[in-house]
Amino acid sequence: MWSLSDESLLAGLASGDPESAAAFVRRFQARVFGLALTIVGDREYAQEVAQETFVRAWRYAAAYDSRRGRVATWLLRIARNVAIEAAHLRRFEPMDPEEIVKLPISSSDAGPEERTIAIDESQRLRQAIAVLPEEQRRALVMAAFYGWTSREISESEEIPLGTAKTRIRTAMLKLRSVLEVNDER
Amino acid sequence: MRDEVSCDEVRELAPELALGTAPGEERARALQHLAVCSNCRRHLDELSGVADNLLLLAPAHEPPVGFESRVIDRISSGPRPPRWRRMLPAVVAAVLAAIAALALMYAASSEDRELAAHYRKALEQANGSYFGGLPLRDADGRRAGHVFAYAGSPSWVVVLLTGSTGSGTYAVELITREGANAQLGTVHVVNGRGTFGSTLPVGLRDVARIELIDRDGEDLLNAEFPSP
Repeated sequence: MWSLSDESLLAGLASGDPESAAAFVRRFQARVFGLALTIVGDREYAQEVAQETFVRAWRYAAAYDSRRGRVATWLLRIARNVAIEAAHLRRFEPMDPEEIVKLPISSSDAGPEERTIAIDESQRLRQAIAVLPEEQRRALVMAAFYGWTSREISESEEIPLGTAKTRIRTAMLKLRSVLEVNDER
Repeated sequence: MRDEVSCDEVRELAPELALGTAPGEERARALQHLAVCSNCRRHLDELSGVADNLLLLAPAHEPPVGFESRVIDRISSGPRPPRWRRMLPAVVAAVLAAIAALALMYAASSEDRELAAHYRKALEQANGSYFGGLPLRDADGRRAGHVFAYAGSPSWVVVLLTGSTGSGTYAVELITREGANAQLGTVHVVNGRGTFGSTLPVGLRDVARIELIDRDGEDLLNAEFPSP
């Protein structure tokens, strides 16, 4: 099991193979729980979110398309959506964006092919985020992790809607140019 | 309905589309443009890659002991994911006729009859085109109806309820593979039966599922589309 690719584990999960399912959960549970915890901030809640994420992954495994990205990011997208749906995040204080960008990269639970790619990309991304103007970084984190719309960001930051959109767009375009040097999908 | 969306507008919205925070209406219009514009699709893909990589920055944490077995328990006890079987062409024509007939049968008002005639016209055009039927299932996996889809310009779906869904009005929603939502309209259900038809703002292969949602926003029925 340790040498199987993420895709083959997911295929095993989709077909109902219990060993693949268990291996799939073991491989990604720290990443999924970690993201859930980052977003909802509560361990109990994060566990429920993480569980629901794997259940949805099992249900929608047939819909995974490798052309759209890695299994890990597909799974984390699901986790993020579950966390946002479940936590009614628009009423919560989001985690301090500064905390998120300070946190160390943890790749010890990455699958085999991720080990060589992820660290380098993550480092460059962190550096690029660190040099963003603070208001762009904040807007980006609010949208990317907490699913805040531009309108919600503009209301919370007390800025015009257009300014909120521009902050997000500028930040995203800067990060895109940092990543495009080594875009492997 | 507004005019066609331009590349400039879509590129402006692309970061929010990639982050999944674009408002529903704008998203639906952008998706129509993206269906036919590969440049904008490429741009959106790049930004989606950025959004994905951001999620990878959150640190990993081991969940509490027993997490894995709790997940496996939930998976083992839940309903199996729906399987899809494409209908044979010979059956298709019969089904089309049946749908048209049912649509007419339930057409109470003249407005409904007009709608039924509209379905029939669209269904006639479906002859010879790709056509598939998917079961509509409730949370327990029981079949409550079908979604019939055909690829065209634009693509179409017909939703046919034949099960035990409670009477009332339900919203019909489309979820794309990008995770975006599009409202298709509403369906009136009487004694478990109802029909609904709509063109789609995206191509069939971009549809992940069709959902029926009740007044309380509860996701009632799902039809899962297989990946292309």
